[in-house]
Amino acid sequence: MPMNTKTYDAIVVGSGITGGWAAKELTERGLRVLLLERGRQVTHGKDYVGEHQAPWDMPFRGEGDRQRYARDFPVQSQCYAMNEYTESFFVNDRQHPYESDPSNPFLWIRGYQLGGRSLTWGRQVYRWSDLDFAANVEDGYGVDWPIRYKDLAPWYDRVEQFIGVSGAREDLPHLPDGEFLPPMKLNCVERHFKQALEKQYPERRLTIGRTAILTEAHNGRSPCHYCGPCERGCSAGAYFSSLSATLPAAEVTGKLTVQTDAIVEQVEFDKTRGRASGVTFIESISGQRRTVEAKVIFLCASTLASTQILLNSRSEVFPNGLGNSSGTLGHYLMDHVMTAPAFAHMPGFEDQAYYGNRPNGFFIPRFGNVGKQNRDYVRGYGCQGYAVRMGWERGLQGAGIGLDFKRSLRRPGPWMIGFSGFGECLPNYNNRVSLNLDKRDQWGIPQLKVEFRFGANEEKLAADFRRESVSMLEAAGAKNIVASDEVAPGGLAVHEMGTARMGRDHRTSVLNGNNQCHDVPNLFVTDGACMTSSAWQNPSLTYMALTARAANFAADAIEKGVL
Amino acid sequence: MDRRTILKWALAGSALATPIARALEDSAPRRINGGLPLSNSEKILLKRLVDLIVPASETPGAVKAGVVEFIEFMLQHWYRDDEKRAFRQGLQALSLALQTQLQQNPLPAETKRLEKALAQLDRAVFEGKEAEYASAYRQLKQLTVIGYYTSEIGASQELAFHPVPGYFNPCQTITVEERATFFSVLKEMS
Repeated sequence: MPMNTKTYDAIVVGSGITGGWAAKELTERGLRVLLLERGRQVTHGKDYVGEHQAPWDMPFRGEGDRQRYARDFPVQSQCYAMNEYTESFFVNDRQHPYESDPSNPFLWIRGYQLGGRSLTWGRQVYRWSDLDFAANVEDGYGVDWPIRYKDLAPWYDRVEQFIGVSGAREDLPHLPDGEFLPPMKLNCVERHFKQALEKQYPERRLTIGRTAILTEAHNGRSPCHYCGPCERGCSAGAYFSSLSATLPAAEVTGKLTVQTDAIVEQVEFDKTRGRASGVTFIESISGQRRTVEAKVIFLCASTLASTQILLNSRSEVFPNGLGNSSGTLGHYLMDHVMTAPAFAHMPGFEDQAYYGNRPNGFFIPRFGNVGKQNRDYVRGYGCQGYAVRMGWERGLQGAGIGLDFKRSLRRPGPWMIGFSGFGECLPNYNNRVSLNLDKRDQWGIPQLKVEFRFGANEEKLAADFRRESVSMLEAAGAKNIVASDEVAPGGLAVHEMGTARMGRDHRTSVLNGNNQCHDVPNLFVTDGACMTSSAWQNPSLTYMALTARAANFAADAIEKGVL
Repeated sequence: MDRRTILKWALAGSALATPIARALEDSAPRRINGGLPLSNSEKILLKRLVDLIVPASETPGAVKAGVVEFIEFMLQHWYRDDEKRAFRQGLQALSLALQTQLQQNPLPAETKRLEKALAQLDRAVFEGKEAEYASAYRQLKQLTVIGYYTSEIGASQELAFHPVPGYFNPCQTITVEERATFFSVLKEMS
């Protein structure tokens, strides 16, 4: 149906992890939803052009066109998930510019298409606990979260039941168990590492990653077939994405209208009612601007994009951006500290191997500053990694030619084990995004300027990771251990969050405990922008739970006639 | 976790550093014209060398797997002009070094003799010998290894290729005859 013949109860901006959830929950509550996606249409299955492709069928054997990447994808190509099989799911940096200090870059990894980055995400899903929700008020960095674990727990349940999460129950207070499908399995060297680690450090735990990948059929989706590179897309729908799960669920209601190639420029504010009246978007293909109205607006465009829209929604009442009476909009940007991995050779196990490509690894939940402050920094990190047998790639290094060389590469190589730390980033006022009104993109929208650097606490945390990773690997008898306290540039963990934080006080935060804008009650932001702290867990599960909770809060309010 | 951590940006500096990119860093622009196609003698030299690096065994070797064509493609599309020039100049230096050692033009040299000379040179380069050809040789070897093991012959005949394994067995006992499974790790390592 043509969009302009309908009226809408809700507009959802963005179709990624959170936009899909907002659309699903709101339509299932009977609301008519317009979902606006700035990128192109992508059809589940049909447009997964790299799925199961052999390297010899790709011109650059999967590596991609280096010269074109340098020209058009200098930022995106630094993301581990971008390659020749997946490049259609990443934006052209040249066409979508933003500003960041070259000597201190922030890498903004983006996917402008239906489904957004839910097509290429890392799929690791962990609940937070009150160790995380209370952290700000306990140590004084950042404002207090307006919610606690009990507020979110039923929504974690709801999300996990729908998306399907495989994982092992561990009964750890600081990493609550969830509604799990059967866990994937650790390989022999990972099991050995687990035993050695838990013997040496009884308070530490190694578990298989909790991942939004099915280990059995679930809600009409098929289990994983272990091809490995999920980020190429999965026709079987074995990993959760908007395209495999939430958008089809929203479609079924008959209440969803999707418009792709629609770039939201700003949220319109009606000052007489004190409410958002709708959004103005640009049809990227025709360049035409259109305004559409609704009772409630959900910004789910991704952390930086949602904040960019708010900053660009300037009016008499909100000259510095919509909902920014606190002056905190754009501030307190965070990304996880992602360390260089520690890795090592694990001797032995030469007659052991695995079959299949498990798209998941092991997880060592945070062990520092749990229960008591016992480190020279606050907060903590978890470790994520895996053990593999080296393959043919070891032929790229070291001497050797001829038949002996070829015969040695024909066999599985030695076992390597490695893991990275993913650590908490403290909220810092100076880490922020702003608009550059003098630099605009091809549609006339002011470019975003990102200023970000890790601080002393993050550096200490990375140094601790280096020390601890060496001790843990030594405990397992690993050899040739390599570890450093180098960390990836901001953005590369692709866990960017904050800039429109939740809080109890409208003077120091943008959103309340229901992800509702303090200043504009029918405006909700439920993507990573809402985060008040970063914790140490991969954040998408929490974004989804917050979105489902906020959507149902909004639907209740509409039913009651409050919104 | 995803492969992101170990594999993508971090193997740099390790035993497994970036394949081609690392070698390219130390190649400087020099005299030879970067243009393609390669001359006939360059192609013959490549053909002989890649098949010495990965020869035919129970499965075909590098030439049959299309490695020479792969190298030409990479030179044309992956390499910048200055890198192409440096590579071709290094290749010329490599040819000269082999010639000095063999006391004859390497192109028609007898295979056993050429292989022995190349093996010596390979050892010297990976022991850190500084030579005009060192960078070009490392690139050639890496291009050969990548070109071979990502080809249909290399990935699916020489190695075991399981694009859709169907299940995951975390731990099975293997014999010494077991072939390694092909897995694409290039991007993650670069």
